Amino acid sequence: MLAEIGAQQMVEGIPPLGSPNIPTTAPEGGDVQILASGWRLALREFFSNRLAIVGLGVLVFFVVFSFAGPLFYHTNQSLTNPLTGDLAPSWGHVVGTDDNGFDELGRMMAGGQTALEIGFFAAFMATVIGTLYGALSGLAGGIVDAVLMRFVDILLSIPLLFIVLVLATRYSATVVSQSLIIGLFSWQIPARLVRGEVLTLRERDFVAATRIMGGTQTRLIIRHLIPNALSVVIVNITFLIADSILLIAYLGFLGFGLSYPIASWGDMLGNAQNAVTSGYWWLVFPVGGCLVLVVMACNLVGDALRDAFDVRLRRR
Amino acid sequence: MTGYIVRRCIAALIIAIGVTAVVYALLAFTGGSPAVAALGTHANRYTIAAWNKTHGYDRPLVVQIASYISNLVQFKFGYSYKQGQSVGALLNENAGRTAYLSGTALVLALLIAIPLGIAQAVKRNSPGDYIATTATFTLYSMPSFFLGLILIQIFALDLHVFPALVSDNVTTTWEAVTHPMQLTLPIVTLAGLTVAGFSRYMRSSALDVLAQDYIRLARAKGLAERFVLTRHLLRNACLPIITLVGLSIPGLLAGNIITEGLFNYPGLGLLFFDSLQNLDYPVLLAYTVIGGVLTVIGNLIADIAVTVADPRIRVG
Amino acid sequence: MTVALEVKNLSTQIRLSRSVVEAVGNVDFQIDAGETLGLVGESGSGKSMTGLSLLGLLPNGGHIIEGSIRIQGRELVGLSERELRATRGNEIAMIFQDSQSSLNPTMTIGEQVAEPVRVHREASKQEARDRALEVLELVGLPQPRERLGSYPHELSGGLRQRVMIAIALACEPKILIADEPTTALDVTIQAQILALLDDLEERLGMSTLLITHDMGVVAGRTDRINVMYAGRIVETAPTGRLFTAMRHPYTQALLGSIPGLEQDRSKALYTIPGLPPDLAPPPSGCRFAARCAYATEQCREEEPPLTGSDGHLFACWHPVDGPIERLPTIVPPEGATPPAVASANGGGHLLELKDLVREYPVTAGIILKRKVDSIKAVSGVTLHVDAGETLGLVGESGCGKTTLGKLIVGGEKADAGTVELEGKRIFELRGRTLRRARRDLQMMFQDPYASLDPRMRVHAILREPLEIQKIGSRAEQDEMIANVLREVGLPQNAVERYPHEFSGGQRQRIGLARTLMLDPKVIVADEPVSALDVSIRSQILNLMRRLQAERGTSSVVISHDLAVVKYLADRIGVMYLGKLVELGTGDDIYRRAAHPYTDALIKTIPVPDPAVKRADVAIRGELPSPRNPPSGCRFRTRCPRAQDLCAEQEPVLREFDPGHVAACHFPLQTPLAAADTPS
Repeated sequence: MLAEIGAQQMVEGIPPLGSPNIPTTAPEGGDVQILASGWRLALREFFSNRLAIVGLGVLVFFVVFSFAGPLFYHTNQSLTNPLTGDLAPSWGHVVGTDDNGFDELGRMMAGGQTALEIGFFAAFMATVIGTLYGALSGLAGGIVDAVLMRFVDILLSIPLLFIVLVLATRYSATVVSQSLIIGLFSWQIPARLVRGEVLTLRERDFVAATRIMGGTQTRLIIRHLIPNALSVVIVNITFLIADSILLIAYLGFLGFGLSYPIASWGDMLGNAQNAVTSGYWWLVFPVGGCLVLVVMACNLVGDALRDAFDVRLRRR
Repeated sequence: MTGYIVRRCIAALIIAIGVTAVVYALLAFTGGSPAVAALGTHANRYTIAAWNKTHGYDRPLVVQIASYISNLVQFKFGYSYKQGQSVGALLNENAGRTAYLSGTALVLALLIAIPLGIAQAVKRNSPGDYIATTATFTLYSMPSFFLGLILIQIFALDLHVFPALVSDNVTTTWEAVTHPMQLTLPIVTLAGLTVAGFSRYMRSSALDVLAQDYIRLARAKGLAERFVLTRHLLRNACLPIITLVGLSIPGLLAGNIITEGLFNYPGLGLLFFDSLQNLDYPVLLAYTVIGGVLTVIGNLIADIAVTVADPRIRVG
Repeated sequence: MTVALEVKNLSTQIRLSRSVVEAVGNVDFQIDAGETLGLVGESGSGKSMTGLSLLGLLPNGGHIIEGSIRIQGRELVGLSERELRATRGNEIAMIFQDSQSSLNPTMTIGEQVAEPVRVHREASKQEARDRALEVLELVGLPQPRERLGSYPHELSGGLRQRVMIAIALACEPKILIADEPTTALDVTIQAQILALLDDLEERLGMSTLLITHDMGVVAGRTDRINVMYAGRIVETAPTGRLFTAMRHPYTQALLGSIPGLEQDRSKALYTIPGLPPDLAPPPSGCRFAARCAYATEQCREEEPPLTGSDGHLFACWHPVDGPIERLPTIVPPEGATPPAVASANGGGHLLELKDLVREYPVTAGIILKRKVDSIKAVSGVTLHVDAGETLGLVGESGCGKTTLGKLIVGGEKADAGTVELEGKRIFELRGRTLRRARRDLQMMFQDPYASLDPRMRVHAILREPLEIQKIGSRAEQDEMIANVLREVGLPQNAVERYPHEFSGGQRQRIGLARTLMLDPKVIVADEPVSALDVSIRSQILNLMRRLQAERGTSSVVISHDLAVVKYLADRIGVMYLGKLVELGTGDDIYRRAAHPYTDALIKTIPVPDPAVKRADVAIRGELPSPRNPPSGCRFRTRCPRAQDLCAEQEPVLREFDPGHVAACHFPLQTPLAAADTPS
C-alpha cells in the first residue's frame, strides 16, 4: 500500500502526486537518459578535437615511416662511402646524403625507430616507477610521505640533462642503456601527479563509502584508486615520450648519443652546425622537422587526452 | 611570516644537502673518479688506489660527502687536473657571462610571455590566439639547438644581420654586455624555449583568473576593461608564474650548455661541455651540484616571493 | 510612485559550442522606487541570467536578443560599453552569492570598496578611502578603520558578505540586484545579512531585485514576487497573494514541496515529477507542461500568455486556486507499527554513543609535521538511537555534526568515547568480525557527485557492498540489486549506466540504494538533500520517509536545515561547536526550546510564509574558532542570556520534559526536578 504513494493514490480535490496526465510507467525517480559510456564519451571528445586527430595521424605516420619505411625504401646504412658524401637531394637520394655517404632519408627512418623506441621505453619505465612511488607515498602519508616527497624534490632540483650527460659518458650508448638512464631519472613528475591524485581521491566520499562497507585497503587501491588515477597517468605518458625524445636528441647533438652504427636523429644533428654553415641544409632541416613534428604530435595527443578525460568526469 | 620563511629556508638547506649527496654518490657509484681525471685513463689500479688514498677518496662515501660539503661551504670546489686550475677559479671566470646570457634571456622571456599569455586569454579563440598558440606550441616542442640552427640559417647565413658564432673577441662579461649584436642570437635562442613554456602557462593561468567571480564583480563595479586587467587580473594571474620561474632554472642551465656550445660563447655551459669530453670529473661534479643548489635557491626565492605577493599565504 | 526599473520583453541567449540556450525569454517586470521585488526559481530557471542581463555582464557567448531595460526611463539595451560602464556600480549595483570568490584575494578591502568611488565619482584616493570607511561603517563591519587594510581571507563569510554589500552601495545606486546574497551563509549569519539589507533599503530608499531559490528568504521581505521557470516568468503577484492565492501550478507545487516547520510529518510532501526542460532549444507550448498535473493537449501545443488582473499575472491555461490542501498520508494507519527490529541486548538502546571526542590535529612543518593545535570537532557527545527511530542532528557549519556522523559509521576514529551497537563496541573489533559488524552501520552522503565512483557502473557500485560482505551468489546479488533499484524508484536499465548519466536526484537515489544493499540497522544520512533543488528535494524526502515506514530501519539524519530534520526525525539533537546543547522530540525543540541557541535558530530560519512575523536578529556575532572554543558554555559569547557563571562552569544536560534535555545554566524553560538532575 505504501509503495503506491507517489504513483496512483488519488485524493479528492487535488491531483495525485503523479498525475494521470503523466504516463506513470516511468519509475518514480524518472528515466535515465541514454548517454554514451564514459570511455566512449572520452573517445568521442578526443576525436572531436581536430588537433588531436592531426597529432595521432602524425604519430601513426612516423611509426609506419620508421618501422615499415625501410622495408620499401632500401638504403645502405652500414658502409661509409665518402665519394657519395654530402650530395644534395636528387632522384637517387630524395633527401640527399650525409658526410659518410649514407642516404639521409633511410637514416631518418632508422633514427625514427630509435627515437620512438627510446621514447616509449623510457616513458614506460618512468611511469611504472613513478606510479608505484607516488601511490606508496600518498597511501603511506605522514612522515614516510614527507621523506619520500623531499627525495623527489631533491631529484627534481638536479638538472636532468647534467646527470644524463654525465652518465652517458660512462656507459656504452645503446637503445636500452639510454632508455634506462632517461627512465630512471624522469619518474619524479608522474610520482608527484599520482601522489596528488591519491591524496585527493582518498578524501572522496566514494572511498569513504567503501571503507564504511568494510572494504579492505587492497580493494580500495585496485577498484577505486587505480582506475581513477589512471587517466592522469595515461595523459602523462604522452608528455614523457615527448620529453624523452627531446632528451636523446640533446644527447645526440652534444655528441653523447648512440654508438655507431645505431642511427638517431640527435646524432644526425650532431654536425648540424657545420652542415648549416656549409650550406648542406638537407642534413639539418628535414631531420629536425621530423623531431619537432613527433614531439609536437605527442604533446597534442596528451593535451587532447587530458581534455577528453576532463569531459568524462564532468557532470553532464 | 618570518617563521614560515625560516622554515622554508631550513627545508631548502636540507634539500640542497640532499642534492649534493645524491649527485656525489651517483658519480662515485658510476665510477666517475677524479683519479681517472688526474692520472688519465691508462693509469693502473695500484697507482689509482694510491692516489685515492692520498686524496681521501678511499674513505667511506658518507665521510667523503661530508668533507665535500664542508669544502663547498668554504667555496672550495676541488681541483681540475685537466686544466691545472682550481674548479672555483674556472667557475668564477665563466659565471658572469653565463649569468648575463641567462638573465637577459629570462627577463626577455617574461616580458614577452606575460603580455602574450594575457592577450591570448582575453582574445581566446580568436585568429590571433590560434596563431600564437600554434607558434608557442611549436617552440615548446623544439629542441633549443634546432631553434638556434634555424635562427643561424635565417639571420646569419641568409640575411647576414647577426653573426653565426659569438666572436672570439668577446671574452669578458663586460664585452658581452657591450656587444649586443654578438649576443642577440644566443639570447633569443635561450629565451625562445622559455617563452614557449611561460606563455602557455600564463594563458591558462589568465583564463582561470578570468573565470573568477571577482573579475565579474570588478566589471559590475563599472571598471573599464583595461583596469579590470591591470588591477585585478595581472597580479592574480602572475602568482603561479613566480613559482614557474623558480622551476625553470634547471631548464635554463641545460639550455646554456646547448646555446653556449652552439654559438661558441664562453660560459659555464661550454666549460661543462668541454669537461664532459675531457672526463674532467671535479668540474662536472661541481657544476652539477651548483646547478642543483641554484635550483633549490631559485625555488626558495620564488616561494618567498609568492608569500610576499599573495596575502593568503602570509598567515601560515 | 515612480518606476525605478522597467524590464520589457527581455530575451537572452547563450551560444554554446554546439547549441544555443534560450536562458531568458520574454521577461517583463518593473520595480518601483523603494520597492523590493523577489525573483524566485530553481537552478537553471534563468533568474541569475536575468540579473546579469540587467548589468550587461552575461557570460561568454551570452547576449540580449530583444527587449528593453529602463532605469528611471533611460534605456540601457543598445548602449555602448562605455555608457553601460558608467551605469554599472553607479546606478545599478549587484551583490553575488559567493563572497569567497567574488572578492579579489590580493587586494585590500579598503581598495576594493573605494574602487567604484574612484571610477564613478572621480574621487581622489583620500576621498575614496573616506567614502569606503563610511560605507563599511554603514554595513556594520566591526572596526572598519582597522579592517581597511585587511585582505578578504582574513574575514569570515558573513563579514565578507558585508564588504560585498559595501562595494555595491559605495556609489549609492538606485537599484540593487542581490543574487542569492545569503545562500552560502549559515542561518544565523543569513538572518544578520538579510536584516542589514532590509535596513539599508529603507534608509537609502533603494529599489531591490532579490534573486533567490529560497521561498523563505523572499516571503517576509519583498513587496512582489516573480516566479521563474525555464527562462519564463510564470507568475507575478504581491507577496501575500502569491503565497495564499497562487494561480500557477508550478508555484503551487513549489510551495507544496517545501517542508515547513509546521509540516505534518504524517503527510507526504508534494512532488514535481521529472526534471526542468532543456532550453536548447526550449519545448513548444507551456514549458512546465511535461511536469504539470493539470496539463492538457492545449498546454503542450500553445504557450500560455501572462494574463491576469490587479497586478497578479500568471501564464497558465488551467490556473489553480490557492495552495494544495490535502496530501496523502505516508505513515501506516494506526496500530500498524513498523516491523519490529529485535534488539539483541534486550531492551537496551540500538545505538549508543558515549562521550565521543574527535579532534583534528593542526600541523606545521614540512617534514616532521608537529602538532601545534587541534580543531575540537566533537567534544564529548552522548546520544542514543532506538530501534526503528530516526534521530536528527542540526547545527550550523562547523558544529561537528558531520564528524559525529562519520564517527558513528566508523569513517573516522574517535579520540575518546565509545560507539556501541546493540551493546557491542564494534569499532574495537578487528579484521573479519569488524567487517561483519560494519554492515549494520551505513552512510548516505551529501554530494551526489562525489559519493559515487565515476569509473564504476551502477551495477558495480551496488554490488560492491555485497561483494565486500560476501553476501549471496551472483544471481542472488543481481536480484537484490533489482529489488533495491525498484525500491528507490529507479529503472532497471540503470545498472548498465555510469553515475555521470544521472541527474542529481537520481544519483542521490543510487546513494540511498547503496546504503540499503546491506540492509543496515542504522543509516546515517549526511545532508541528504541539501545539494538538490527544491522540487527534487521533496522527491527524496518522500522516498526516505516511505523507506523509514516500510523498513523500520533506524537512521540518523544530519542537516543544517531544521525543517528537513523535523520532517524526517522523531527526535532532534541540536549541536553547537562540537557540543550537543539540546535534545528532544520535534515538538520539544520547536515549541518548547530550552536552550537559547535552539530558540534563536528557530526564530532566524526564514519561513515560506509572509504571515509569520520575523523576530529581530536573534544571534549576534560570529561562530568562535573551533581551535579555541570559549570556556564554560561554548555558546556564551553570542548568548543574550549569558552571565559570569556561563564562562566559569560548563552546563550539563538537564531534563525539561521526559526525554527532552538541554545544557544551559539559564534555560528558557523550567527543568523538571530543578534541583538535582544527574547525568
